[in-house]
Amino acid sequence: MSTDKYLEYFANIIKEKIGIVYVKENYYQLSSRLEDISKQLKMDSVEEFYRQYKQAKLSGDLSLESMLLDTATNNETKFFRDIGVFKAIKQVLEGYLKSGKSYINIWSAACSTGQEPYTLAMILYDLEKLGYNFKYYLLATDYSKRVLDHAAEGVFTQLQVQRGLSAPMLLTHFEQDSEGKFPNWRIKPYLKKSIIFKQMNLIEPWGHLGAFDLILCRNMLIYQSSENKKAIVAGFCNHLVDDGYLVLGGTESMIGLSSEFEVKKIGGSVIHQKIPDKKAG
Amino acid sequence: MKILIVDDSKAVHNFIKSALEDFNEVDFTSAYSGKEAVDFLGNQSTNFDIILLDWEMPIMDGPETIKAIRAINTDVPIIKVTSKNKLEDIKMALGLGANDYIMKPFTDDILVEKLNNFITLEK
Repeated sequence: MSTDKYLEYFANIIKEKIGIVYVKENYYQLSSRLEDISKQLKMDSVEEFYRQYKQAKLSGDLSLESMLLDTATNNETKFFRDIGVFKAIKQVLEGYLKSGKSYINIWSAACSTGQEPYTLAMILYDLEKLGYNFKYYLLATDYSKRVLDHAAEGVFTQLQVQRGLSAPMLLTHFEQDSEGKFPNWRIKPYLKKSIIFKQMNLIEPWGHLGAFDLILCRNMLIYQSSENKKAIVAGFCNHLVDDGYLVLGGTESMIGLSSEFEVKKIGGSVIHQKIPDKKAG
Repeated sequence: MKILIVDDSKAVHNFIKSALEDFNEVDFTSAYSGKEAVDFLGNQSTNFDIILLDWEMPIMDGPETIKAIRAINTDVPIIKVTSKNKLEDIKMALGLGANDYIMKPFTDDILVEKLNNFITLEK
């Protein structure tokens, strides 16, 4: 079996299980990720990983599959990633509160290591400090258990906090560990407990999640097939309140995916608002 | 944009200049000691949009320098540049009038992001 055949084999499994599509041109990325796993497991090669993987599957052991799917996801994130989007979100949330809303539901649907939901929690904290009286439910989901565990633990390295967080925000919302030359930063309990972390595969049935005022799913759909994109966006639409908002990544567009949303430009950032009448129709 | 770089290491000056070379209308002024920086600020004709201030310099260090700068100019944003990340150090810097901090070694994109919180860099 040639290396490309191994890659094709794993690419098919990844596509089937979590919907991420690796086209041939991107096999080099998959290859590099598989080499990383093989090294981590002290295996000599991707071929060796393939053999062990097949054996494990036969005996019902899903640990290698879990590692494979976990490594296939792109976990690139940072606090306040695309600052303009978060300014727009703050404006939207403040609009809700000004109109008398006292309960806000938000879903960070591909939350990776937690920077996005914690950023949202910081914005909600700021709104509370402005004197708005409200409660909120903040759900953060991701396919990968590894990144979710990281998110739920709420511990970040110096490099992670340096990306996106100003010093005043860092001091407001983090405590520092006492050990190490460059100690890690730990999110303060009041922000941590405000978020519900849940493992979830967006291409499998979602169960009962409730209705959200705002859903963020940034830079995840780009890795999905067109069918999956449409299904996921339709799911988001069903889980949004009338005139609720969906935020996608900066390079992701709704064109060809759904006509249930209208584009809103807020301060130069694009977010998608559900069109209420469509639901009724 | 007028940026004052205060650092006793020439390599840091070079790195910052090269990280920002693609941006339009950025003027750099280099100070290699705290005293030199304070002299620039004391000169009424010199206004800066932002200061990148090394915290660990010999003779006149970051804390001394920022106190002297703030006695002259209370408005100019100052980013502390440091090789330490202890919470107490960051807190002290903010207390002395720093607006933010950046930890060495840093990358081009982090530098640009930090600066863009205070000034507008345009390509």
